Formats: sequence, C-alpha cells, structure tokens
Amino acid sequence: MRAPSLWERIEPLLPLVEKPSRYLGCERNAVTGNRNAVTGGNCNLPNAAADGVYRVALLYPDVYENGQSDHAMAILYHIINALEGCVAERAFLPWVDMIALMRERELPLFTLESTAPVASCNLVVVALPHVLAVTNVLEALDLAGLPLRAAERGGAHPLVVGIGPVALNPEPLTAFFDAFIIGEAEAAIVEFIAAHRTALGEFVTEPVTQPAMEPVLRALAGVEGVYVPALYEPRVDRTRVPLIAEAPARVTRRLVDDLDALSPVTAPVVPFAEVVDDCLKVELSRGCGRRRRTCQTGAVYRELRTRRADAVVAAAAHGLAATGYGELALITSAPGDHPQAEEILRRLNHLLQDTDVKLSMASRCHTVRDVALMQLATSERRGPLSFAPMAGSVRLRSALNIPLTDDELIEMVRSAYAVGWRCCELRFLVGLPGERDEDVQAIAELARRAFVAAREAVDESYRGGLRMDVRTEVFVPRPHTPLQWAGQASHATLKQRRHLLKSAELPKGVNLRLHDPASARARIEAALARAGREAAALIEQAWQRGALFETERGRFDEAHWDEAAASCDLSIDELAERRFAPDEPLYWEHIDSGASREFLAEEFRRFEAALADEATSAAGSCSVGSCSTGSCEPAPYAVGGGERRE
Amino acid sequence: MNETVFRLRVNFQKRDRLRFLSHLELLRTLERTVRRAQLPLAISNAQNRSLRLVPGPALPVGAVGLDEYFDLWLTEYLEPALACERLQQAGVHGLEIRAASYVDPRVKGLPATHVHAVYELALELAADGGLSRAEIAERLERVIAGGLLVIKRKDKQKTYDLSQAVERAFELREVAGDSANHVIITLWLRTAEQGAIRPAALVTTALDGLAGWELRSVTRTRLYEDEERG
Repeated sequence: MRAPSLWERIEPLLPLVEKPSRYLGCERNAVTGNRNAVTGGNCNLPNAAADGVYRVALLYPDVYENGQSDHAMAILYHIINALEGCVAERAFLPWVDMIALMRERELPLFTLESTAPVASCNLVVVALPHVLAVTNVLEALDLAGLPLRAAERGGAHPLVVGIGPVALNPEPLTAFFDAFIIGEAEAAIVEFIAAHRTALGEFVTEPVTQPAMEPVLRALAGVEGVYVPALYEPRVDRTRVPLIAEAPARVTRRLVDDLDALSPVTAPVVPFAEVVDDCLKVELSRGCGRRRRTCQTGAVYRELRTRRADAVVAAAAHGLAATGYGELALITSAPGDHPQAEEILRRLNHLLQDTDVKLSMASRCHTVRDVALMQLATSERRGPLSFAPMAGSVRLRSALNIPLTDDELIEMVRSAYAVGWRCCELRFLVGLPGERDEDVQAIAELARRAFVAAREAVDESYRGGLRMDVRTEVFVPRPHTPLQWAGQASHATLKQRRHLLKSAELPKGVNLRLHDPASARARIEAALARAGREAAALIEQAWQRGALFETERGRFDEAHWDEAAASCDLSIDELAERRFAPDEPLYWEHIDSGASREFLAEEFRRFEAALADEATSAAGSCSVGSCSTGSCEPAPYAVGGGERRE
Repeated sequence: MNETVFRLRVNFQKRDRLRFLSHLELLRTLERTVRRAQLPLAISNAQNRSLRLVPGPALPVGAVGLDEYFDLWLTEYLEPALACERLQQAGVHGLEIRAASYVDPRVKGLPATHVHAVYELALELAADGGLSRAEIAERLERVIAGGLLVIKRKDKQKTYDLSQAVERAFELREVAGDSANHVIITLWLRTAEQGAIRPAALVTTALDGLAGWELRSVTRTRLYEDEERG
C-alpha cells in the first residue's frame, strides 16, 4: 500500500518538543523501502512508503526510549523484513508534548521508517507488555485516526492484532483488537501474515476498495495460536463458544521450540536517543523451569530452551560489528540455566578483550553458581546484583515453590560481596495469600542477616561503602498461574505491611524501597489482569479521563480509574480482590497456555497445603510442592495436562 | 592506556535529520560509528575501559553543522583517506565525513581551542512585508550594543557578556524565496566565560514582539581556532 511521507509536517514540530530524536527514524540498520541500501550496509535515506508491498506497523504503546529496547519487537522486525514483499515499520506513542501538537495540527500517528500514517499499513501489530499500557494503546489507535472499537473498523482499515504477555487474558481488550497472537508471536507471525495476505489478495496494494472483514477474520482464525474475538460468542458463564468451524474451541499458545532455529537479531536498529537497555542483546535461553507459583512466565513458558554456544558467540560478534554498541547483554532467566554458560562467557570475554565493549547479563541469581557466572559476565563497573527470594519466611517461600532456605540465600549474598559486588538487591512480594505479619517481619530480618554476612565477607576498609537494596512489590494474581484463583490483599492490609517494614530496625547501608503506599497501580493491574469483557468500558473511560503513560513518574492518577469504574458501575477494589471458586469458570479458559486447569488447581492446593504445614515452617526447612521432607526437587509438572506442544 | 601515538582529527558535517540530535546523542552516534568502522582504537586501561573520542563544541539541537570536528586516538597509523572512507561507510545518513588529519597528541582539546564560530540564521519574512531588513539590523544592533543578554530556560537563567561573545559586526543578506522573502543573518560568535551563546536566542530576543518573521534554520558554517581567525 503506498502512502505519502508526513516528514514535511513533522519537521516543524521537532524544535518545539522534548527529545526530538525520538521521531527521526533513519537510524543505523533501520530498513526502509530501499532494501538494497540495507543489505549493502550503508545508511538509509528515509523515503515514502514503498509501493506494492505488504506493510506492517510494529506499534509499541509507549515512548521510543521504552519501546525501542523491546527485544520481542526487534525479533519481529527482523523476521518480517526478511519476508519477500513485506516491510516492517516501527511506531511509538509520542510523548505528551508531541501528542498535543499532532492533535492540534491534525497530524496522524506515523511510522518512523517511511513517516507515513500508521493507518496506511496493512497490519498493525501492537505490543502489550504490561496491563497498565492499555490506555496508551487507545491513545495510539486514536492518534492514528483508527476507530477504537474493532466493530467500527472495516476493510479500509488495517488489521489490529495484539501480542505479548497481556494477551494471555485478552478478554478486557477484545473490543479494541481484531485478533491476538497468543504466546511467542515470532512463532506464528509468518503464518499469520501469509494468511492475511492471501485473504487480502490484490487488495494489499489497493487501499481504496478493501474486502469485507469477515473472510479475512475467518482465514486468520485458522492460524494456530490466533484468537479472533469476533468469531466467538461470549456466554454468561464466561465460556467462549466458536461461531465458525475454523475457530478452535481453545486457542493454544505458540512457542519457539528450538531457539537455535530462530535466527538471532544481529543487526538491530541502533537508536540515536538513549533507550532503556541501550545495548546489543543476545538471548542465551528462554523459559524457566522453576515454576514459582506467582510467576506467569514460569507457568506458560516453562520449557527451557537454550541457544548453542557457537550461535551465541557468532551472534555477539556479528551484532557488535553491525551496531557498534559499547555493551553486550546476555538475556536469560538465570545464568546457570545454560549448560554451556561458562564456555560462552569465557569465549565472549576473549572476544571483547582489548575492546571497550562491556559484557553484562540481564538476569537474577538463584544459586551460588549463578553468582560465579555473573562475576564472569560483568565488567569492572558493576551494578547491583539481583536476588529474588520473593518472601521473607521459609514458610511462604515453600508455599510459592521457591526452594531456598535463609542460609542458602545468605551464602549467595555473602559470595557476591566476597567477589567484589558492593551493592545487591533483594526483591520481595507483599500481600501474598496466606501472608502473616511474621512473614513480612522476616523480610527485614533476612535482609539484616544477609547484610551482616556481606560485611563479614569483605575487607574492613570496604565495609563503610557496602549497600543493600530491599525492594518490595505488591502481589498481583495473574491468569494461568496457580494463584490465579486468589485475590489481591486489601488496601488496608498492604498499608499495614508497609508500616511493618518501615518500622523494622535495619543496619545502615540497607535501603528499603517499599511498594507505593496507596498500592494504586498494583490494584489497577490486579483489577484488569483477571477481568472479562466488561473491563473494556472501564479502560476506555479511564483513557477519556486522561489516564495515559501510567507507569511514568508523576503521570498516574488513581482518580481517573475510580471515576471510570464508578461510571461503569464497577469497583476497582472488588475486581482486584475477588477470589474465584475452584469450580468457577475463568475468563481466560479458552486460552490454552500449556498449563491445564487441573495442573494449576493441584498447584494451588499444594500452595495452600504448604501454608498450613506449621511443622515445616517452624523447622525452617524447605518444602517444595507436595514434598515436605526437605527435598528441593520440584514435583513432576504435567499433572493432568501441561504437556509440551508439538 | 595502551600505546597511544596517533590523534586523528576528523572533520564532518551534521545535517539533515541528524541536526536534531543533542550533543550527547551525537557523541554516542560517533562512538558507535568508530566502533563499526573497525579502526585501531586506543582503549584506556583504567577501571572503566573506554575509547578516547572528544567532539568539538556542542551545536544547539536543531542546528546544522557544516564544519564540525572530533578527535580520535588510535594505536596504529591509518591513512587518513582510508579512515574517512571507513567512517563514512559505518555512518548514518546526515553524518558526512569530509576529511581527516593527524594532530600532535599533546595539543589542547577541541572544546578549548575551537572557540570561534560563524553562524548563518535563515529568517522567513511574511510576503506582505511589515518587517524590513533595516528593522532587523536595527534591533540586532540595539541588543548587541546593550552588552548583556539574559536567557531564561526552564528554571535557569544565564547572562552572557555580548562584548565577549560577539566577535564582529553581523551581516545581513536577502534571498528571494518562492512565496516569501528570506533573510540570512551571519554572526561571528566566540565561546565566552559563560559558555557558548545560542545564536537563535540572540536573534529571537532582538526580534521579540515583532510579527511577520519565522526562524527557519540555524547553520554553523565554520568552527575555528585562534590562529585561523580573520
């Protein structure tokens, strides 16, 4: 579809806004319509949207700095641009100053590659990284000039598809999206685009007369992992019944089975503006087999998939040559997850010696081996090392399936300080189901003991400079996790937990970074995470009242949501705190995440049993899953389902 | 630092969309460009290993630079033309590498030496007249003769001594446009004790309150050191 460049209208706005580099495009490795320029390695001159190609807008509903560092979007950009006759173009939500000017001058949301309107693309893929981004999505669609509601869009509009973790319960957003890709979108995007192009036929390049939406939606419903809400009838009992044969009764999440088969992104776009993770990223592994009962990633992507050492090192070498980045970050849930971790780190250190490129690893430590690997993976200037015991007491950790005793954690922390770290971070959740005052007090006690051990591990001359950050976040029950049936703790409980922590006596050097006193953001997250289609009106009303960039400092206003809820006859507190009965249907059960209801219910039962196991708590030993004998081996995963899909 | 012998001074242009980069963003872009160019970079052996690249004085965001510089320390001699070619290949659109030459590694840094600059500001005047060339000149002369320029940005206020910052009398010339008249103001400025004055701030202060004009572009056409003056 051909579309004119809006650059001449964008350019006069740039002197008037903060960080104009957000809106420039033309970065190194950005792919424009002139592909030869890209493969030749030269810089690209931005140009108008190319004629005769299928154009995909990859829309990240946040500012450039946050979206440009999203690795999933970089992977999709890489895959789509490799398809014959397709181009991927990036679009980000402008900051409020630019939005105001664009609205004043009736300038629609544009893509960076062609500076053409997002609405002129064939497909808009919207990232849904977290629940609080939902109002940004509406702002982006509206700024693009698209009707917010899918039912009001037609064949002349691009298809709007959602991807990302939030799509695991797509129901609150179904009103705004034509389709969702469930799971790892890169596993399905090629099939999705092929089906869409086939359904569009000659209309790909002819924007004037587009086909009706229904045949297109029917074609997409046949792609595995794709949920097309319009083709399901929502029943009062929360079930979703397919209206056509092509739509599966349950939509199964897609997964990249073999990480080595997924070509790494070796020439990502190199931003001008400083972005959140301003470095070359190479994935070491995906998935997490720890199966912590609060963790959605662990439940949905439990299959650990690793990339071969040769592929990691080659990706790093090619990537650094193509980007010129000064930092290489390895992505993995834990360093020790990769069987070749030592070899990889040794080879990368060799590759980077005599250069100014730093090596880092975006990960948390779960074992002493992880600490040793992190030491290999970090340069001289070290940021804080992160540990996530999640709960202060062994009782709660056991219930969460975190096989970690106090002594084991303290030993990990001690070993980190002993090898040179000067700051570590301990992360905890508060407001967990079954949490007692003593569990919260145990957070402070654990931090105190860990810090004493850290001080003893270093030379006396360094002790004054040691620091430890203790960070607490509010527990948010998430779909497809064993705790999906539990409610969030009440506002009063969370406030009391905060007070308990604040009143704890801690040594100098231990900094408490406690959850927000009002816990307001976490309540909105909890309210939306497990909601049904009724939440669409709530989201729309909140957006109309000004809810935008809700995670940015100074932007969030709880009143927007309270007023919106009142106007929809809903209560944020009721939505956040509601408990589902074990036999009660859930809004997301037509999504097959790979963890069956039976399995999750059994895990929830084990969680409750572990909480009740007073003997274990008193002994301070570890009881994981159904095991209360002190063994840390997790129980077999596939209880009543959850088998790996082929 | 590993054996550093060669200090390459690179002359480049910052134009097109790149003019909207801040000084820090430009520095990051240059660092990534020199890494991609695979030059024999000198790396410091200090706690925090880093390449040694020093850019010249900052350009205001939005201004085009036609005669910009950065210094780069190398461990091996590389033919300047070859270095330019590699840098151009590794660059981005809007970054034009013009020339390179070696300088004595002991000389002072660019921000200390290249303190003289020539700017051209293009003003678009409304077609129906109103604002004349003579009025613009008179306003500018009055501000410069005042001696001090106070600039407020956000919560900060800075006062510039124009007797130091403005090196010689400005020039004005008219350029006929399609539908409007354009005036080019040429300013010779020097980095003073208070820092570098923004030429756009000088002109907008001078023309404050007058209608019928719009600042279309700011271009630093030349950057030079004391010996080159005049």
